[in-house]
Amino acid sequence: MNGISSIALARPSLVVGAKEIAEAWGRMPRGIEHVRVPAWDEDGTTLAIDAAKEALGRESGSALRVILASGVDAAILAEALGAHHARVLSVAGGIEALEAALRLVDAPALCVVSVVPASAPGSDARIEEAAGAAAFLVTADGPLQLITSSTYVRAASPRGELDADEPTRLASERFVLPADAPLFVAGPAALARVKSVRPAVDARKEWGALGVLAPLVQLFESLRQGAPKGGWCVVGDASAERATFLALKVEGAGLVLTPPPERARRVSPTRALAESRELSQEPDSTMGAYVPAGTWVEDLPARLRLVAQQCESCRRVMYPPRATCPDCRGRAFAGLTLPPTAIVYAATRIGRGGAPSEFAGEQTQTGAFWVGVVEWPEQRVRVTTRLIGYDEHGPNIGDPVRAVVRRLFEQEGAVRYGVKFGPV
Amino acid sequence: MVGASMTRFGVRPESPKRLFAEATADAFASVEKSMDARDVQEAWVGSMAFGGWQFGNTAAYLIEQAGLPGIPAQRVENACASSGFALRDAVLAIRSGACDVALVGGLEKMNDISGLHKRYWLGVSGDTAWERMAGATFPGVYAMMASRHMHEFRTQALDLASVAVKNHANGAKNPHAQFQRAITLEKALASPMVASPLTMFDCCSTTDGAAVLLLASEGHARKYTDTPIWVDGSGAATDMLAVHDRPSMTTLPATVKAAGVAYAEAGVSATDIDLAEVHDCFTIAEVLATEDLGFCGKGEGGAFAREGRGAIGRDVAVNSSGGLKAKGHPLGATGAGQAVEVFEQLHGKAGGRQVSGAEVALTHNVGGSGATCAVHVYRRG
Repeated sequence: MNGISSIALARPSLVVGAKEIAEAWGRMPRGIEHVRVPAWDEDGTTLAIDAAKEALGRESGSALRVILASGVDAAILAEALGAHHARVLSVAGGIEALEAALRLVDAPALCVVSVVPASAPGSDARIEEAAGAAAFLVTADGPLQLITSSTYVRAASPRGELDADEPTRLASERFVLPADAPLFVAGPAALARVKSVRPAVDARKEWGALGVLAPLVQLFESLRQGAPKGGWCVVGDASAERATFLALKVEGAGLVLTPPPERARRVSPTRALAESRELSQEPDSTMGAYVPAGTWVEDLPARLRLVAQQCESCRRVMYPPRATCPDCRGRAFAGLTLPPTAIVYAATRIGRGGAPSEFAGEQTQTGAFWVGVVEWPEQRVRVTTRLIGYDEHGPNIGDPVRAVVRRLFEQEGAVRYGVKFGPV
Repeated sequence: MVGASMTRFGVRPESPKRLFAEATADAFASVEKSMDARDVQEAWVGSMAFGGWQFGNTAAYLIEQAGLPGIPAQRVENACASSGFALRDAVLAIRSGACDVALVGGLEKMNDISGLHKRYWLGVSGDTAWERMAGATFPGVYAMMASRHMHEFRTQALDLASVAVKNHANGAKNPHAQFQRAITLEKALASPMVASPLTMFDCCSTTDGAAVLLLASEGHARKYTDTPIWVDGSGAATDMLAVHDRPSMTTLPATVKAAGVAYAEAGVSATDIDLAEVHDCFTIAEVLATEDLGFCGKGEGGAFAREGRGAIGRDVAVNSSGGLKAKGHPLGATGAGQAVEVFEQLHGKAGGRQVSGAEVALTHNVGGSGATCAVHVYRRG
């Protein structure tokens, strides 16, 4: 029976303190201490890639048969994982995506749910909205198994006069569990009102408001604290229009739980707003250098997965991709994936006036940035790249760095993703 | 070379056609015994982007506006080395016997467009897809070269600033220069950071200007002057577009190759050169050039600059014109502008910046971060 064998979370690199938000905005919902918000080059897709890579661990992306992705550019995610044999489905929701991955599809499957703040900057809802992603690897014998589920859906009321707890109540009435099942619950507070059970963990405190991702993060955090006796857990989500509950049970050992990296940059609410990309006044694409879509797509495996070329006649490794081997003029190449870690070969901090026009808007909003040449000494290749996660002192030549997929720039409304390098 | 002239480089309100016509008329005026415009058989014009509009048939348009319609003419584009390569094309045509009298021009117009637009087309002569889209146009790329030079050879910010101070001191005596004022080391070191470790005074100013050279074959030159400047050596090379694809980031192999050919053709070595106009788009570029051209050993370029060995009257006069740093850098006109300085110096007409007794000179014109390079060696006739 299909079950979850690995879960990983990703969160964005910026964190804003609730106290600072309250000072800036005059209010802050209770129960939140930190809000995790994306940096300029992070979005639902980059968070999804971060989480998915961790959930896969040493498993190869090419073994995946299905990817279910919510809040993600699924095609970019599949390419970043090298999931060339997977059917890739974009789905909505969080708990619904997980249920589909467990009930409806072939294993191994990956379910990835990502959220980013949805409101406009400055809107009242925005202040507590957070970003994050969760990835679930579903395999034929995964230890976390779906035992039963219940869903109730009704038409939305434009005037909101309906009983908001009704979907929760009706869904839970149909939700039959053994009377003695010791439960822990990840999901809506409404469930506590109708079933006398309490959430084991409240993810809002450390993450902020996560929307459809919230119950999945709570499930993860609850499991990390240790499944209760009997291994039962209920995860659910509910609104005034719908409610879904899943009852899961840990059957056997081996469930892998990978928390997000602790590293986060604490920023002011003002800075978080500047990093949101929505305030930029400078044109960042109209005056930018143009790379046609076809040319860009040709290099996507290199951009997203560090796929280099190895010349079939002289074995020279080439990265970025070339049309002809400069040593022997060979034109037949095998793919060779570079390791994710490289070392800094050269570096510069680009100040005002030093940036290409397509990054001028970013620089106006977020300040000077680091660019470097990184090297893989063993393969004898180098590439120019953005270096991220450094302060004004930057990295030193010789420092190790690790590849992550981030937004590079936008062209004609499409986001161009690729690797950047940060501290190991 | 029997005639040569350039407009003053800098912020010029005139249209490209007027700038080019001015340089052409002045080049004819510089010919000692006069030249009939109808003697010119063919023209090569270096321009990277003209000013952002006349991208096609640029040469036909400029030649027409300069009063030479009808002759074969072509635009040569190798980024900032465009007119260095235009000069080479004319030299090769004359050597082959296909042409006896040729015009070499260069033109660029950078100051009547927005700063964003300017950075847009400057950046497209590096590696666009990988280098530029990582956020590094030329300031960033040369800054990374500087970071390697500092790492490998302990070169200091002070060494780089010394290049700027020397070139501004020379530019202060050059009426063609955009910036005719000296600066101090303190001022250079305290200027805003553009791309660490390069400050504003480590970077040249891309600007407006035109330059025109008149060349004649050995058999025809003396009709026009008793003192022709002979182009004894012409070398050129290309290299990987992106610096990350080169084995080293502290040398420009294209410079080494081009200089090797030019020296060999001229039968001279680096120690014979009295003055060198080198491509100092950034101060680190002059440091690399002094090494790659053989004026000092690899890794010694920082000390060479700090000790003032490139000043007028020392080892070799490097950038007596002020270089790109002080004279200004109208991309496509820069290579021809370097030859104008040689023409004036070897004729003893360089005024306050005259290199006394100058006999042998060199020009070094680089495109991008070293993807193209043309080197020429000249001798006073």
